[in-house]
Amino acid sequence: MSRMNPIYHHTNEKLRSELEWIQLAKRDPEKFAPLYEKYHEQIFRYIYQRMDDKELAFDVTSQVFLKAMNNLHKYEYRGVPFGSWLYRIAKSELYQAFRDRSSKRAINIETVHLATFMDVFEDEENEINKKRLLSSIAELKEADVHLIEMRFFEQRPYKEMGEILGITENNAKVKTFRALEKLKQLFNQNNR
Amino acid sequence: MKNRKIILDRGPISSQEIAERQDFDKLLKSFKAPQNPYWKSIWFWGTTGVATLGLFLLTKQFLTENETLKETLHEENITLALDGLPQDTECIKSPVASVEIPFVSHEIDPSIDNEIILENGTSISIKAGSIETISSGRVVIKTRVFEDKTTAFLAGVPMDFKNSSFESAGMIEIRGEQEGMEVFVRADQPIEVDLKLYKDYNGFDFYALDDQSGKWSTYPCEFLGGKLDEVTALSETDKKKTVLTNEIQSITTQISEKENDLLEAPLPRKETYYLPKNEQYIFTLDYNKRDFPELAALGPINFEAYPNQANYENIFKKSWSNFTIEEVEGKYSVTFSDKLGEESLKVRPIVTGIRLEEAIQEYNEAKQDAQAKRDLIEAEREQLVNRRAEKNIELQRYIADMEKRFNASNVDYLEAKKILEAKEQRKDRFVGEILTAASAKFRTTQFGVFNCDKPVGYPKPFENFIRFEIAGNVISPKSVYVFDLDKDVRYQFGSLSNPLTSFGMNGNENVVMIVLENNEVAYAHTSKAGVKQSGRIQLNVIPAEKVTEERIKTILNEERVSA
Repeated sequence: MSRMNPIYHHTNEKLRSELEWIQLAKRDPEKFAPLYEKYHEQIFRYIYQRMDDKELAFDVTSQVFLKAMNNLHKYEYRGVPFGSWLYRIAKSELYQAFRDRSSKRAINIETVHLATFMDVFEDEENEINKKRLLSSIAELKEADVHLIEMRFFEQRPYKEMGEILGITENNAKVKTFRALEKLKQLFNQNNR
Repeated sequence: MKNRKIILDRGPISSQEIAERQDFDKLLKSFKAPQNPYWKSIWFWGTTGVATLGLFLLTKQFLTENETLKETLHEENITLALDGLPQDTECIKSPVASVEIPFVSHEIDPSIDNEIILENGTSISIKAGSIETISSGRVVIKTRVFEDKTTAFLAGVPMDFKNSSFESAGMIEIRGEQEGMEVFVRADQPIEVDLKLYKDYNGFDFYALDDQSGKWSTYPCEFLGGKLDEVTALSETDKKKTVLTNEIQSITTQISEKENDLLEAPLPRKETYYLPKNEQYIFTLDYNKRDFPELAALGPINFEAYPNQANYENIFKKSWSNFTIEEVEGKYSVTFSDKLGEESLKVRPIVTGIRLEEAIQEYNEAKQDAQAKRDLIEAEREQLVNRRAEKNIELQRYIADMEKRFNASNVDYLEAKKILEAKEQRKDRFVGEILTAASAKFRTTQFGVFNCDKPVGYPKPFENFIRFEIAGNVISPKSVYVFDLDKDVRYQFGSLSNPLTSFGMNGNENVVMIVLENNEVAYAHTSKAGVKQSGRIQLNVIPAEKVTEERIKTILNEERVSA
């Protein structure tokens, strides 16, 4: 029996039912609950990935949903999951939090992910290279870090990245490739 | 360095913990309903309504006077545009009359449940009584599966949608016949189709063709499997496993090398420095230094018997009348003798006095150096052993992940892997993708054409008029097809919505094709830049009798590569 691929694809049926929830929520804010429940964890994880303070991450998450509810009347369906709209609000709220609360931008990395870069850079996986890589990631521009995070640390497909960033899937691919090239360049520079 | 904090291996946070922090009621309390915009207020509509009514009355008079003239002009425009259209206006009719894409017929008994499996794996389930039959006889279900541009083109399937052309990921035409008459699906008993796709369906939607109008409209379907994605993902995991296994092997080799290095960097031996090892076996011999100058060169020496020689105690309990020293390949033995017999001991010289102190110092220094060298090798070896352990853990995790994926997947991965490998070697997209492709599952109460598509915009028209030439003669085609081989779409110019004046092409590899009146086909492989520069397209002509599906496929680079 075939099964749906929940990561890569939202069926038309899923999108339709989501759209129904949105339309109901536009009329009655209490009907926003299923959307909140569906996306709360995703949005929290997105924010917490980029923050060090867990409590603050929960606060920002609440702020994202509050903003979404307050602006839901402006929401227009564009054939992509509602989540992509939420992610855009989340990104904006996140940077607002960095500005307002002097919270530091955090980049959360798992050692296992570093191995991937070493494979890509065809370099040896050792302590020195690990330090070089971390320092190179810290030096990247914010937009590039965002791409690297989404693709390599959060393992998002390019289609979803495109939807979140409001660009095409192909463009997301190209931009990520370029970000990776920049990272490689910094990594090699840090060798000197 | 930017103002960022890098956090490595922060512990995970559980879904439960996040779920526990959900508080919709609190959110709802903070929510402020947006106020109605001004244009929803009564005063706004009151004022605007009165003003609009006045304006309407004023303009109505003017419009009525011009209506007759406008209608006449509109009619003329349509007549003019229709004149430019090809003669064939039926919805699905081959542009080349002499070539037909045949249907595959499947005879079924409509009174029982039927499942038709097509060559590409597509299945059509027809429940008993689903067909509105003419008689109690058998029904012929006719199908055509379009998996390339050639067949869709030669079958005459229109591919325009709004202002775009379709790129297809899988298309099927299903018809029903009984006694030569068309039959229909009962409105309350839909048939179910699982259409195999030959491309990744991401970014595609599903459409049905209206036979009457020749227009496509979206149609509900469920995309299933994404097996191509799945197989590719499994394949990536599998590759990673191979990479890890190779890495582990490579590390194991490096560990062996380090172990060899350790063997080749031994600690110095006391024997080398003529140092004593076992005080209880040391004795003095008054030997003739002239016979053994190499021993004499060592300065004052004693001899130490090698341990575990059974006769040692006995030899030194006795007084001997004579002894001789022998040297064989740097090793010495002493033979004690008297009238009654003789006994031999293996011995080695050891230095004494001031030479002993010097030798101890030399030995200690050499030992320190050797130990440092060995420590370094040991550390490197340990690092490798740890790395191998980490890689092993990673490998186990990948294997567990693979097993999890295999279990969750409906793909026979090992089978698919073989096909994928074969596909990579042979560039044979068809064999592999039949097994690995996703499918579009839909229920329908109508026979017709169904298509998984992605609309691709028409190219920008050339600024200048483009001449079409055959053997130097300019021709005036009614319809021109442009196949974009990269985007995998067919554009048709010469219709109402895309007249020849809007002729254009993308900056990819293109094939321009014109069907001539006598069923000859003229074509040219060309590029946008070339056409833009020359302002003309020179076409080759295929005589009518040589226009075949295979020939068109060759032109459109859609030949199947046989295994």
